[in-house]
Amino acid sequence: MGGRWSAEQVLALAPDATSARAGRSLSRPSPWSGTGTTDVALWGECQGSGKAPYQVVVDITGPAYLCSCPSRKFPCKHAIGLLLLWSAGEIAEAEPTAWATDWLTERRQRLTTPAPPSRTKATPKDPEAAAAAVAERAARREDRVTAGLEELDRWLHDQVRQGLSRLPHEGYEVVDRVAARLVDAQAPGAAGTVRRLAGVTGSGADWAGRALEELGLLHLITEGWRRRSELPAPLAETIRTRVGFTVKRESLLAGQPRIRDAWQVLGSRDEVQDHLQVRRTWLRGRATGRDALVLSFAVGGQSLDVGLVPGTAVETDLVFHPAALPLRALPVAEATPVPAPHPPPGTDVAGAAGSYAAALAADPFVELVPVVLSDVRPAHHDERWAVVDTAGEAVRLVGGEPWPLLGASGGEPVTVFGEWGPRGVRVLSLWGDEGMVLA
Amino acid sequence: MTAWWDDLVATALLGTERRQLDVGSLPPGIATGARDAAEPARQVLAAAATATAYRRAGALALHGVEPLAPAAPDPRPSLPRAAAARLADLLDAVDEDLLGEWLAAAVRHRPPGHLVPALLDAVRGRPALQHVAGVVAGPRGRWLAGFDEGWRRVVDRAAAGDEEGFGSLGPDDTWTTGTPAQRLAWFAAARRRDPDAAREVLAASWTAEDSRRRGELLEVMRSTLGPADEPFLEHALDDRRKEVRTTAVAALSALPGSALSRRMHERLAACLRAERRLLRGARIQVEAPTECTPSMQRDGIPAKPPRGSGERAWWLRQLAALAPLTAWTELTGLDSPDDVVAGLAQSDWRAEVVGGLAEAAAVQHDPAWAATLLRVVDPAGSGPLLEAVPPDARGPLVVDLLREHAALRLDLLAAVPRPWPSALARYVLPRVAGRTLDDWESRALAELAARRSPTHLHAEAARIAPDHPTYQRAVVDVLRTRHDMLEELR
Repeated sequence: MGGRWSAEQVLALAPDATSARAGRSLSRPSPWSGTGTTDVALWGECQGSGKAPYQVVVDITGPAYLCSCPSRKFPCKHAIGLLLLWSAGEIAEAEPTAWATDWLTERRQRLTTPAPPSRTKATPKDPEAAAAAVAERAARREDRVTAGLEELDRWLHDQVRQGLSRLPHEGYEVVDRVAARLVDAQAPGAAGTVRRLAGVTGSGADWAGRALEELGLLHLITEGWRRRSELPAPLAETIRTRVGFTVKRESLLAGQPRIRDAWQVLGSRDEVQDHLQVRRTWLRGRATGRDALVLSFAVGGQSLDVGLVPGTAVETDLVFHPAALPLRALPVAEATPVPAPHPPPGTDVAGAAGSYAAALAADPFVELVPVVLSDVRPAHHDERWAVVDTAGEAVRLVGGEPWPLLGASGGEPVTVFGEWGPRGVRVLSLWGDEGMVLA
Repeated sequence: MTAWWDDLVATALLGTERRQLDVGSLPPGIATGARDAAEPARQVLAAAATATAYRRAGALALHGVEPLAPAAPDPRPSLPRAAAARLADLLDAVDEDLLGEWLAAAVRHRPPGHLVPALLDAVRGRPALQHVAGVVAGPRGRWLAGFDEGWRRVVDRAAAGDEEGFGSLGPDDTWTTGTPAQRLAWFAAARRRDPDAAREVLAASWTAEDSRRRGELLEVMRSTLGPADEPFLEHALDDRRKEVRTTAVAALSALPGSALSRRMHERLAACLRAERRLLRGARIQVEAPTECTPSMQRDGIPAKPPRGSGERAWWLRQLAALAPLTAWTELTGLDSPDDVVAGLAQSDWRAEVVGGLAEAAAVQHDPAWAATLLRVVDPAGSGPLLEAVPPDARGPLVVDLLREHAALRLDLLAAVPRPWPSALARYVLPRVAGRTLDDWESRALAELAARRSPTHLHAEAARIAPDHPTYQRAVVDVLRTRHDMLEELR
């Protein structure tokens, strides 16, 4: 991307359609004064309905926003309007005003100094005693997880011994009770898989097959946990993640290497999980060729982290969560915009299937892998949608009617990016004649 | 699915208490893990775990799938970037009026393909936009229409104004096998190319047409009327369906010198008598018809009046609506529509005559009569009359009318289509800005002025009342948005 963003990218930052519209109505020069931009920031004053104009600063590298308006939308319409104006080339280079400089400097400092440890309520004098307390807590959890997973193992065993055909009659509560006990045992990851089993059971012609798949994966969790000391360290980490252990940012930063690269943002998807909004953003490193998944979370009306805009690329450091197939990553440095190739280099259907197989070989739990498919055309097959590559190999599309893909392609070859999973590909973005499109 | 997996599922379903798993039948890689397990249930679980990864890894690619045949190319230049972003925005929260104005201005550009499905969706329930949306959607829209019945209807409607739109089908195919919308479109285009040949085609299938379609087809004919159409229309006066007869009557009354016009002229002659008076203009004596003969009924004057209106009054009104306007000046010897209307002032039948004349002026598209009648009719009925006035004459006329009424007549203004002539906008905008805009009528006027004033006046409009925030928001902002949106399309 380098330099300015497109209007689409700016509008992708808007927390909702209303903000996008309001931002657009402010994207003309007349309400603005004192605007200016440097390589990394832009600022300006926007005359609203009140007497004093609102002061707006945007740090492009975050991006991060500051506005003196009372809006709780983030970014607010003023920031969006200013970004749009900038995207249209209507903001000239200038020296930052004093109020802009203050905030930008303060922000830089905050980023470069590590955050103070958040849990400071009990600061024991003796660091050794503190370490011992932490270790004891960890050991206690391991014991509870072991007990919980042993119980799960017995339950799994009973199901297969007595037959899955009983499951639909026993109802959701039985499975839910098993999940609840796993939550009590501090194994929320395993509990999630058990709940998914409840969703599969009895629904659809092939429910037994899908239920057996879930049972098999649960069995892998219990077995893996039992033998965790014998496993290679990354696989043991994968098992811990599946059980429900999380890794703190600090220990990631301390224990994992920083991978610097130009990371292209290929696509993202928002989901709601347990009232929590989750944005999954997929990156691919230009030099390393590595795929990365960055998750961000928001509760209620909060805005998700929108720093990684699909269609752009940023130079930054990522730290990967340790795993047999390390995908989940955390950006840990300031991001500098760099040019992104359009379309990104991709593979054919066989190549993507191969990368999925390789991923499954490394991590049998993996549900989705990111794939870029080059030169594929839409097809309708057995009442369902698919894309076909130039070799004539096709893959099903999942996740609703693919209208943007169909409209953008018109039957001509396009490059698509998506999540390749057990039932097909969910397209998240694509590149056709008109550039990048979010599907 | 593979047999060994089905066997594994069957064992799990029944339970290992009842069914034995044949580990030997599993593929080697899966069997190995299962053999290590101590007892049958664990064997099933271990096999399921490996098999899941194994099956997922191998299951996906399909063969023998044919890609869709591609859409026809769209030779139009692509939309400028800002305009494409604007379209996305307009489709996000549809304002029918703005979208309609944008679409009408965008027909010479190719929209971004990924927005075409959303465009076709947006006009699903908006018949007024379907034609223009279909034209903007272009070949990509026609291609997408193959996947959705609602989109198909939108695209068919667009073909009504676009000869190329159905050229691929071949004209004869369309006329004999097309959907009603496609046939209507074909007929409209054929009338524009060769009215006489098109009429012959229609005449050939006329009796076989569905009675509802006959009315629609005749309506299409009305917009391209010529003297050669008269025999066909005269024939349609005997149609079974009332809509067909009404359309034929209106068409014939607007056809100068038609037999129907001449018959109406004669009937009118029997009702009028002009008295010339020195210095005071003429007085026209009107006597309403005393009967409605079968021949009058055939010519479109219904014998039975609607509830609340007298028979003679009703016949007179219909006669005035269908008689050629030229008859009034010829029969009275007066020079102008103004003189005729003035001459009617004393008549007991004035209301009926003026009502009928207003209908006639609209149907016969007579600007002089329309201008006269606009001053005397109820403003609520001004719309069709204004349309008989050439667009560039409407502005000054409406300004005059507003001055005479000494008020901003919402109904009158609503009858002037977008874009308003500058003269009209310059008259209305300061008067809207002079109001507080806190009552329903003022807000409606502001909305109308914002959406219909020509966009080049946006800066001028802003200067009128810089300290009136409601006016700025309700009028100037909208006007400026329209201006920006149209500029982006240049």
